[in-house]
Amino acid sequence: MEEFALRTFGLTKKFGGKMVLNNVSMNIRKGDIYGFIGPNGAGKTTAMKIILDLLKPTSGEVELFGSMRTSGSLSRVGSLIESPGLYTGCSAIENMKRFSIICGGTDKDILFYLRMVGLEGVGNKKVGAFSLGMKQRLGIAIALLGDPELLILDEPVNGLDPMGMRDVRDIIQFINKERGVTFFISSHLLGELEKIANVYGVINCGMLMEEITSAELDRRCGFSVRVRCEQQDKALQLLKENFGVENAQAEGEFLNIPADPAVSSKINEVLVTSGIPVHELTINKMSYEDYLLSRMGTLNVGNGVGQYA
Amino acid sequence: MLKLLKFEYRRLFRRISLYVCLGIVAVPVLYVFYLIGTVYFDENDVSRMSMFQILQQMISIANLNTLIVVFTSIFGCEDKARGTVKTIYSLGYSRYKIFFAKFAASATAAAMMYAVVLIFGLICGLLFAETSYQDVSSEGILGRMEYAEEPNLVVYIIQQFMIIMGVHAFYYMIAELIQKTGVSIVLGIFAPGIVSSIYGVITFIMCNISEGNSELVEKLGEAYSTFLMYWLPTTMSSVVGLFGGMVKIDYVISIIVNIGYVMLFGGLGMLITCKKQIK
Repeated sequence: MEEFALRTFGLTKKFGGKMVLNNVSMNIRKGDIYGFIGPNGAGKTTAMKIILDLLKPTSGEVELFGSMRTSGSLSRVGSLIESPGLYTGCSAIENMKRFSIICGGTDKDILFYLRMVGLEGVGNKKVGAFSLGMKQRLGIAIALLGDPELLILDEPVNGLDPMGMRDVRDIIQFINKERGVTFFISSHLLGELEKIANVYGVINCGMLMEEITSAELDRRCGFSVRVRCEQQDKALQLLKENFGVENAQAEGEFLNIPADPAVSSKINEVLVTSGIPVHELTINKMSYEDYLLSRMGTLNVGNGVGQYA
Repeated sequence: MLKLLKFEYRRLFRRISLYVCLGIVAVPVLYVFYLIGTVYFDENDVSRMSMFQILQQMISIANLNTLIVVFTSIFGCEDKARGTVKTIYSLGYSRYKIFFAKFAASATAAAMMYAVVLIFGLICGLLFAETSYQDVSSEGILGRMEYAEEPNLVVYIIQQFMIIMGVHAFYYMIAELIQKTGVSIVLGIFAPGIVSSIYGVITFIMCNISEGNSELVEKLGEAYSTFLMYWLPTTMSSVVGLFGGMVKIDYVISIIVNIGYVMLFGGLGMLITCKKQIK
């Protein structure tokens, strides 16, 4: 039985002289929800297009369901790449019926998936009159036709309002849990992926920086105690002597001390009894976002873009 | 393959533009039908129009060339314009099957437009034309034609159909290459004429260079005339063969040449599809 739904080996893509993907090797196990994170222009869509045979790689291989990609294995994959491709002069149902001819699926499936994505009331409406969010939902419904075993979704919540985003998350989790479908989802919105993905692939400038499970990510995003006090040099010395803390850092007025929350009261006691007034003490946990930002340098954080040197 | 054909034919027959084009073809054809039947028809007139002449008139007036380039460009470029090409190409079907299904559906539209002209032309001919004996011997099909003698009707009908298929293959190849509707239409309309013009200029220059060699100049001229007779825009002309010196075999050669165009441009279109990257 195949352990991996999708693997890539050294995927590289050049457009002219520009390297867009550089030796990307990823591994997506069956049943995973794999979050593919990276800033705009990192190579996420290019990687997905190569996997789906829309682009030819400069070098590298793609393995689907345990064997090198064939037409048979691609027929087990559903996808939504960039904006959904739809016949805008036709109704949602007509679009679904057309694609069901080549993707698979019965009329019953069409109604089921339209209901699942919340479009059952507008099935006969022309797609040209749909909002961006409605088109996105229809694109997801079309990707589900034919009961694929692997779904590749490129920015699936693009254009959706918060309720729509929640609905898409619920759909993904339902299908993953009930049918064991593997998901390969790209996004620059880490907050959304965080809620559903159990494995992350971090890509930047065409290179896969890291693949990490959410459990490992959780472990790496540790706690810290943040103290605002005077005599910072003396405070750092005391922390080293009493708690063995070597990597505490001064950040402006604050000392950032990697430590378990349970010792925060002890830290306070040691500093105060040594004559160092403590004005403020908080417990922080490094977020996934901060960790992944540190791996990447640049990330689109919801509505704005966070740029780091 | 069957699924792809079913998909493309569903897409074809649900296009309003197909029926609009068929309507546009029918209007002038019906007008000619009306004229032939009312203004020009005289039962006692021994020199009334033949079936061949009626079909010629209908084909000329129908403006099939323009309609086919417009529809083929719209149909051929739609999937790229709508983004549906990503879904179709990522399902695992081989590229040449995808091409063949689209090409077949588009060619069917061109054939339907020709069929409208043919059907009305034949009805008009049956009602109003002077009946003539159709010689189906090899002499009748391939023999020499005297001045104003007409080719075999079946050969003519097939020849015109193959011209339609030949130009369609060219326009579809352009649509696959360019993938932009407007540019495909313009290139489809003007490219054949530009090719003829370039060949003409080259022939003119070579004739000037070879001014002293009258035999070479004559051969260059003949080659150019032959090219013009069988190249795409001229093969749409239905007056070829009515002037003295033509032979019936020219119609058969035209059929063979256009089969060649279908294979050549169809093959090139398939190559373009197979190599295409969906950016």
